[in-house]
Amino acid sequence: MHIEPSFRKRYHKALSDTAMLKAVKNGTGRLRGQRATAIEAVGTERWMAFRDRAEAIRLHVIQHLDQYLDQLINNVLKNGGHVCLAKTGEEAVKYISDLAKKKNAKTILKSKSMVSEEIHLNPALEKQGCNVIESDLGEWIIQLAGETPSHIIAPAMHKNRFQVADLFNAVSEEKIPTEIADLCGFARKYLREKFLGIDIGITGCNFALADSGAITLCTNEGNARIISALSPTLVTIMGMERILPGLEELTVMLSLLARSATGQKLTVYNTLSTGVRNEEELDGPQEFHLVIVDNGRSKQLGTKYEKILNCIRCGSCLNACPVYRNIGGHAYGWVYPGPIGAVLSPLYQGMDKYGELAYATTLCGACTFACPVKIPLHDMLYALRNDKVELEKTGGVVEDITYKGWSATFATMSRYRFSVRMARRFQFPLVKAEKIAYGPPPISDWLRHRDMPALPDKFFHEIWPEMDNDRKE
Amino acid sequence: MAEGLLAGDREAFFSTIRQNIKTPPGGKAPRVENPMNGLFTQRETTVEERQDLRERFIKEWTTLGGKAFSIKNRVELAQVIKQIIQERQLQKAMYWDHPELENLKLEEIFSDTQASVSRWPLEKKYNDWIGKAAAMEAGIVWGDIVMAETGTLVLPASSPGQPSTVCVLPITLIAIFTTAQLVDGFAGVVKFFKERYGTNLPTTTTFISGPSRTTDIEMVLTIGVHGSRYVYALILDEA
Repeated sequence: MHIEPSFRKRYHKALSDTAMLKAVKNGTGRLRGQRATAIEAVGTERWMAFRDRAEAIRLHVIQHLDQYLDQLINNVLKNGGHVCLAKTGEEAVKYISDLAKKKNAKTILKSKSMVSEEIHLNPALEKQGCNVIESDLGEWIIQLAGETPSHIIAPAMHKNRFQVADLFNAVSEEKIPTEIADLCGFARKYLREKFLGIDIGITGCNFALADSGAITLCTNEGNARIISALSPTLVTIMGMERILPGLEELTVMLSLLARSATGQKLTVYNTLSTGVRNEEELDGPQEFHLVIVDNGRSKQLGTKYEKILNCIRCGSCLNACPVYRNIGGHAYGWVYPGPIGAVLSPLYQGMDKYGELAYATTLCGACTFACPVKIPLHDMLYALRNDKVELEKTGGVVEDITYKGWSATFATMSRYRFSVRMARRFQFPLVKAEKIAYGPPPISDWLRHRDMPALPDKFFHEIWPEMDNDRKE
Repeated sequence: MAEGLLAGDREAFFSTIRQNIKTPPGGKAPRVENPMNGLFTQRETTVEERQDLRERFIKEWTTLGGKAFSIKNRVELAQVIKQIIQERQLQKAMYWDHPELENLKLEEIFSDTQASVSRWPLEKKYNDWIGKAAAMEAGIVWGDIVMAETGTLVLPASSPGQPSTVCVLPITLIAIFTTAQLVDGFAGVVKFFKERYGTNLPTTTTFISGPSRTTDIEMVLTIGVHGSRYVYALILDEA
């Protein structure tokens, strides 16, 4: 899929897609409402206690990541699983592609994995002749459409039932009705056949437990559960930060994850798996591979962005963000949309490619307030703006002089009053119908979307003494 | 079990991590001593309290889209199972090889119905059992531990006779358990796991809260996209 490099062009394209905008507003509105109801049921005070606890757990893990990774790796190996340590996405893709070749794999079923999107795994496997099928309904829909996810937990949020029916009809021998129950019924039947012929299963990882080497998978549909039960060879891909010390910490995270994502008390299927099946067992993988991916994560450790590694991918910051709700996910360009994507994309993929996403925010702080692990997302977006300016020196001499002049003018009352009086006197060539209608760039850009009232005949500080006298009389 | 293999340069992978981890002023964040403390209900329950938990579970489970039955004796159990067979027009069911299910003599209950029931394993070889398992319309499992607050069955594969295939592949899931299996929530589950397994967890444990669901098309809730569409909880009196 071609991705337009300019954010401006991407969001302009998004703003012209009214069907998508309607679907995204509807979807995020529902998810926000469900989350609010879930929090109300828990009680605000208890919810805050959950968030504090989750933040403390994640902070501890990230600051001791080397120890927990070491423990996890040792336990997975002890349990009979294989581990691949991939510094880059390319290393991870090569390992999994080589494995697929070795196993002569034809049918590969996947459950949702944002890391696999991040490292472009599917195209690499398809290139060597594998039939890679996404089993999460939303992921399968966008796979058929040749698109990337537009939301972390609802990847096909931007599609309506008619568009989905068209996509399903392209792979179905019979015409599928546009009723949602029929569409889901078709997906069950079609994908069930694929599950039964699986050569390799690939899953993401919600949380890995260091003390047991167990992998936790959370799905509402049950697709990850079926994949891990039926795959002779199972591959789990995880971002290296997705670790918890053990089961107790997991219970806190699972309680927060479902409520933050969809407003459920728990996801329908939470699976804890230690990998390879025992000799006497008949289902479960005979071979298990855990691929631990760095791909830019370790560079965030010890920086002002370290807390971004706390993220549990619930998507609640997307639903809270007024910018995401008005442009959808594809405008962000890379695989992670919304406020979390606006921070992750420049950090993982480079400021040159995605630095402008730092401006895809109103800095209202709704994302920070929604985050279950208390990542200060809007502070990070602000910091990224500073970094971008520092890095690119975008302001230059003119902007430097402008801000210095502004600062000097506003520093004293007399200078401020003198300057606004002068502006009032000389604004007339720019004024039309009591509004500033013209101006040089960048003011002209700003005026295209917003109204700026002309300076009035009398300022408030000029009216005030008269009002004050009237009041005293 | 033979130990697995490690691919990739461990030292190189860890060097950037160790190099970049900094100790912030005031020191690194300590491990949270009791992560669950104050967040989850922690208590030992009496038989009477577990009657309340049963009601709580039934409320949650039915809200999620499941059906639940309180059952006093084996006669009632047989009636309920036959009702489900009728309701779902079942022909084939499979059940876990579990001592508690063995005691219930399910084959006797099924014997005078239209449906047949088979105990796991159906066959020994993957290519033989997979087709048979896929044709099963219902899976019957024993709920080793059940969370009332969230309406959740906790199903550890404690032995080879208790695979997750039985609880996730068929369109109908029937979970049987007594009120003695009921706990408030996660605190009871963690206690159970610590006592039974320590950190040596079973190969799989499945937590199931209701039927399979999706809202992936237009955010409309639809039941049964991959896992079970019909889920039944049969709760026996522990006496």
